[in-house]
Parts: sequence; structure tokens; C-alpha cells
Amino acid sequence: MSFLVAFLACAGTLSAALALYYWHLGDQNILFDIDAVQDLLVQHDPERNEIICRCSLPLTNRGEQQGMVNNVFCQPVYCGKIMKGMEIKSQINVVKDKARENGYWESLIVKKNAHFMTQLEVRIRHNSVDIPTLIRQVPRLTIVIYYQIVGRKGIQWKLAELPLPLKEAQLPAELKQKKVVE
Amino acid sequence: MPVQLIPVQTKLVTPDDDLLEVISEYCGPLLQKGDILVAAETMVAITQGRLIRPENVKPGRWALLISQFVHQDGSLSSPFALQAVMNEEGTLRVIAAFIVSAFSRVFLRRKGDFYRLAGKQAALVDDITGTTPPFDKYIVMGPKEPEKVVAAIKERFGIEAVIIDANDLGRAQILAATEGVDQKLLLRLFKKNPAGNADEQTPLVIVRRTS
Repeated sequence: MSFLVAFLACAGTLSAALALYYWHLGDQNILFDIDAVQDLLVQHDPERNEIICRCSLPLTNRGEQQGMVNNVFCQPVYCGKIMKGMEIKSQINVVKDKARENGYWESLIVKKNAHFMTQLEVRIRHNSVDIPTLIRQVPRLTIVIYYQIVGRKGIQWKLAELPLPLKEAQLPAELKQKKVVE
Repeated sequence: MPVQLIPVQTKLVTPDDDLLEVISEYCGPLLQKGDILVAAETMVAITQGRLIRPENVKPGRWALLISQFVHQDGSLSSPFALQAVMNEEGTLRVIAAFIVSAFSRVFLRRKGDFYRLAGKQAALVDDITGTTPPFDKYIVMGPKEPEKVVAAIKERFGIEAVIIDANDLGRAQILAATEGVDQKLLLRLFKKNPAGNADEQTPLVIVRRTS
């Protein structure tokens, strides 16, 4: 009987210790840091009736463990009936030596406390409305970035919303409207 | 003995491809009598469809726990890859390997027992990010029955064949080789990983003796 009690006590202590260790290790906390958007550039090309928005967006791991950014998708939020004639192409890439320019997001390991710079590019065209009219109706276009993190404690989908001004300018201050939903 | 290594660039090999047909198309015109054909284990595994999306793996409690003790650089530090290994090698075997290796690590100060005991797949699995795109989104298991694969290559092309797991970290492991292969020589040659680990897309290497 005393052997059984000792065995159960040992097993219980070991399980509790492992659970504590597991909890203590923490998890990744990888985020597109919308607060730290840099180098926003909005260019208008009247000949092609195209607006090009580019900005740099840090991808940061503030957690205790590493994680992998496996999939990233970005798409515009609906902005009214004017969107019917709009063609919007958006892509996000990691800025690195051998970056792929075709928009393919290569799975990326983000170690604890590490960060990568990414570049978001959005090209907007309208087939019947000119740029000034388009800007009057849609002064800013919100892009949703939906990303999948594979961590050591499971898979998480996160979402970041980035409002992009469409006026030709370099306006980092206008982007300070942070909205990150986990 | 001087040898020449000829990396062969192929198209992106997918699970829809037949390995022998890929070899025939890209190496067929180059192969000579006496050559050794070395195939990368990942390519062999891909042609066998040994790919798993992490979304399709549900890590159990043991996988979640044990993976926390594996160094973060290792594929098994991901509970998804570890669960995929458990599904093939058996959960009990992996748990036993973990317990034994924990003791041998602490009391005998010996490393690597976990990979030796947990089964072949433990050492061969590549987690996501570990393989060239588009397979960077998949857990890639080691190839099945590599001995049969090398035998089939030898039978069809009349040359010696090897399946190797080599990487840019200077590690090489032969999974299977036909009888006439000098394995020591090959391991020495493939420590430098002449096929590359990134976008080279050269999963086949012809080893040719030069006089």
C-alpha cells in the first residue's frame, strides 16, 4: 500500500513539474507590427490609371519561443459599389537578399526576439473612373493581412488591418491607426 | 581515386511524378557504365507522396510535451512533425525513446539517443520551412522502402544507385545503396552537399570515376 502511495505521489509530482515546465516555456507571439509601418509611398500613374501603394511592415516575434509564419494572405476590405470596376492586386514579401518577386510567401522561421522587414505592395486600377474621382470616393483602402503561425504549441491564425491612404504622398503618420485582432 | 560529381538539374519534382521516369528524362542521356546515381531522399519521398500539411496533423499531449525538450533547430521541436513521426513509428516507441534518451543524456552525457531509438522517421522528417518551395508548407517524411527504390534504379538503368540525406551543415547519411557502392567514399564526397540545399533544384547527382 505504501509503495502504491509513493508511486502515485511521484507520478503526480512529475506530472505537475512537467505541466509547470510546459506552461513556463511560453509560446511565440509573432505579429505584423502595424504601429511601426515605415516608408509609405503612394504613387499615381494617370496613364495607366493606376495607384501604387508600398510600405515596409515589420514582422516581429515578441514571444518566448520561435514560430513559423507559414502562410500569409492579403486582400482589400470592401469599400462600396465603386469596387465593382476596381482591380486590386496586393502582395507581401519578406525583404531579404533572395526575395521572391512573384508574391509567393516562403515559410519563415522567426526566432524569439527576432524581426524581419516585409514589404506590402498594392496596385489599384479602375476601369471606368479616373484617379481623382476614385480618391474622392475611397480616400483610404483597408488591406487585411491574414497570416498563419505554426508554433510549438499549435497553429494560430492572426489578422492585421492596415488602412492605406490613396492620396499621392508619403504619409507615415496617417497609418498610425492600429488594429490587430488575434 | 579521382571522381567527378555531376549535379543534374530537374524540373520541380512533385508527387505526380514517377521517380524512374524523372531519372530517365534528366539523367538518361548522361549516364555511362560504371556511374553511381545519387538521389536526394527528399525528392524520393516527394515522388512517394510522403507530404503532410501541418493543418492535417493533430498533435497529442505527448507530442506537445516531448517537442518542448527538442532543440528549436530540430524538426522534432514542432509538435506537428513529432506527431507525424509518432503516427508512423508508434507513440509508445517515441515515448520510450524520449524517456531512455533523457536518462542517457543526464547520467551518461550521451547525445542523439532519441533519434537512434525513436525510429528512422525521427531522423529523416523535415518540418515546414525545411524543404524547397512549394513543399516548405509541408512536413516531409523520409522515403518508404529506400532499398527497393535503389534496386529498381539499378535494374532499369544498369548502374549503382544511392539515396542520400545530405545538407549544408556538413552531415550526410546514406539511406540505401546498391551492393557495388563505396559508401565511405560517397559520404566523404557528400559532406559538402554538392546538390545544394536551397533552390538549386539538383536532386540527382551522377558520380563518375575519372582516370
